[in-house]
Amino acid sequence: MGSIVTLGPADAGKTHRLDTGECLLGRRLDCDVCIPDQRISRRHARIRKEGEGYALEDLGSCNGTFVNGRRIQGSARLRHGDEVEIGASRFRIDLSDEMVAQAENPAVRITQDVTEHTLHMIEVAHLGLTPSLPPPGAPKPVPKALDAQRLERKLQAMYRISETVAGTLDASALLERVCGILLEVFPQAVAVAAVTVEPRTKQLRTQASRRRAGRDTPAPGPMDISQQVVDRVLRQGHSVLLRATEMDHDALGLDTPAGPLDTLVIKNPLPMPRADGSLPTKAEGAVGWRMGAPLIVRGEHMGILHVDADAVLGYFTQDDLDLFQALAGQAAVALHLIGMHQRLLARDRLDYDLQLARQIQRNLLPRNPPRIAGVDFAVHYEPAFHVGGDFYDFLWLDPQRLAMVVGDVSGKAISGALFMARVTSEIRFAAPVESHPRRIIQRVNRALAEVAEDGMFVTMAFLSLDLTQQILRFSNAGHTTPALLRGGKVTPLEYPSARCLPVGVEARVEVAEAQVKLIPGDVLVLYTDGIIEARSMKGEFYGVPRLHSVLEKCGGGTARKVLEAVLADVDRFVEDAPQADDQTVVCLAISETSGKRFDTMVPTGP
Amino acid sequence: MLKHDISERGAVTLVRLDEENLDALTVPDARPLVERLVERGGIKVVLDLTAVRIIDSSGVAIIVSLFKRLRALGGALRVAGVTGQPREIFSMLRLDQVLPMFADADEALKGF
Repeated sequence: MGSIVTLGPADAGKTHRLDTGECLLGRRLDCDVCIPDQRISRRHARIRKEGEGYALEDLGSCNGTFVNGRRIQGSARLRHGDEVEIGASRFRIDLSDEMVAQAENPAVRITQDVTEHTLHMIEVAHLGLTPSLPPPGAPKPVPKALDAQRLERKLQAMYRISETVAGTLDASALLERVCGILLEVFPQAVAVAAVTVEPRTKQLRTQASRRRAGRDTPAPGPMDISQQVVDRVLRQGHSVLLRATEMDHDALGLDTPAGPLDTLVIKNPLPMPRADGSLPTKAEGAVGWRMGAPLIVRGEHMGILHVDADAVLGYFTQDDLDLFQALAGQAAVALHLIGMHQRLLARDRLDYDLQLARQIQRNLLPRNPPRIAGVDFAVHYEPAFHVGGDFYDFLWLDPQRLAMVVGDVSGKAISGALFMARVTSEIRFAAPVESHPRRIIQRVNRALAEVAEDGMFVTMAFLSLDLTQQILRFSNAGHTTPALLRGGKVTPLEYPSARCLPVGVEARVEVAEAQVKLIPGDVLVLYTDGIIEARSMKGEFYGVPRLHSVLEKCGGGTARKVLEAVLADVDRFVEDAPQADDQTVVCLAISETSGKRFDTMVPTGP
Repeated sequence: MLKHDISERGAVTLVRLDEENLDALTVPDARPLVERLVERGGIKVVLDLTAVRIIDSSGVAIIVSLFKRLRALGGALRVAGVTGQPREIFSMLRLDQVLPMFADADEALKGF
């Protein structure tokens, strides 16, 4: 429900709730908001409930009514935060605590039918103790002999609830069962409902409701839960026991509680039994007894449980309220656990998606290096996260020339992976057309410079190996420098004009090619910056010098041996420091003077 | 937002980053800064990276993004004070081919 807050000049901060449907503003003493100002008409304006919201109507005032600085004609719909001005007085409309959402389930209706004045309640602070003080005027004190029976009933109820909640992982099903148990535990109850709060929208949603069958009550219409109960229970986290009547509220003085919050405040006498001992009927104005308890765990308000007693037969006592609150507490914990479980499930699903993305990405990369007589390969590819931005590929430019590329996309995770997919497909498209590393780089660059959003770029070392002559040609677009290990010494494959900007930065790049003749025993090592930028526990970088020195220490051998030497040294260096970037190493070792493609060649036809 | 300091030097906007690491962790905080700079249209910007000790590919990407967008809007970007690891990265990437680099902010402001 909304309220109108006085901003000044007088009474600043004074708040009038807009519960009752109509709020009159004016100079007259009987106005709901009375402003003693000569510029204000006696009956100046009126705020009325209109549908789900409120409307402000000028009642023909002399000096007008203003909303957000504009004079209204007739009436205007109010929104949260609107500033209303009449005379010199200003007010703010506060609808922030609107929780008027209609329950979706028509079995439960949240109503405004009970006004604050007709709620007479026994309040028990949420965490406070609940003294077993019998309400004054209770029909008859419970005999001592019944204590054991009551205790047993409590224990049984608690046991039933814990048994129920243990086996349920669905919020609605859980609350359905809780409703069932509540009907069993409280024989005087005729209807129960569980309403939860949607955390994001604050909308109330009926999760479950039950009505006791077999009573000769009129056809059950929607069950009413009063807004006041919802407000009080939800916002203050209190359980409430209340009796709503329309006939006796004038007789009751509503005292402000004087004691600390966790004292029991009894604001109403119990319904007076009539001469024959029965309680007032609904027809006589008794709406009935109700209990509301919060579903709250660690300050998280998840909803409310609500029980209606039979208007004729039943009433609730402090004992019932204690038990009800304890049961609600159990249900709340279970609900909380279900929420956690569902969040875990959602995370698992995301994990599963990422696993899938990882598989798809792996399929974009060659499963096995090519098989070539006289040349052997070894590949290590390790994304830091599920999906990576590193990539490598082997492409045949023609039957004698193999192209190799190792690259790194600037983004990480999903964006990087998507861009990488694009890059690898551009390369596969460009390679057979252009057939030279520098031309392939230029073509891929042209394609990507237009689409590379937000500074995304890709570095790549592109090499081609002529198997018959063992000539390696290379161009490098901003990538790490490949290392050539020959006779126990490392030569960086670096040539100034054969290096250019990463792909995707500029639409035009100029780059040359350099070449080197390979001899048996040569090992070529391509890698990404995840290797040289691997960090130790102390935060130091692995670095190119250390890579070169481990290669020289290893001296040479098969591609696999060299690769293992590098990885083992990187592992030693980083110890337990987390891997921050993808790591890719591709090794190639030359064992014979000329290589020959092993695998199937597609016959080109007659 | 990334810790930084903006001052107007005539027609040039000088942006001094006050952050040692420009990497995947801090780059998200740098995006609003880039948005703010490009919002102002074709302007000349000097990006002073003296404080930056470590940069990774995400850090380079945000600078490349700023460079491309400023240029597309008729502006220009110069960087100043790139030393150590960032310098190595910049030259490995050959970014000095497109991005004018200067020893310090004063040098970069001269004749811009």
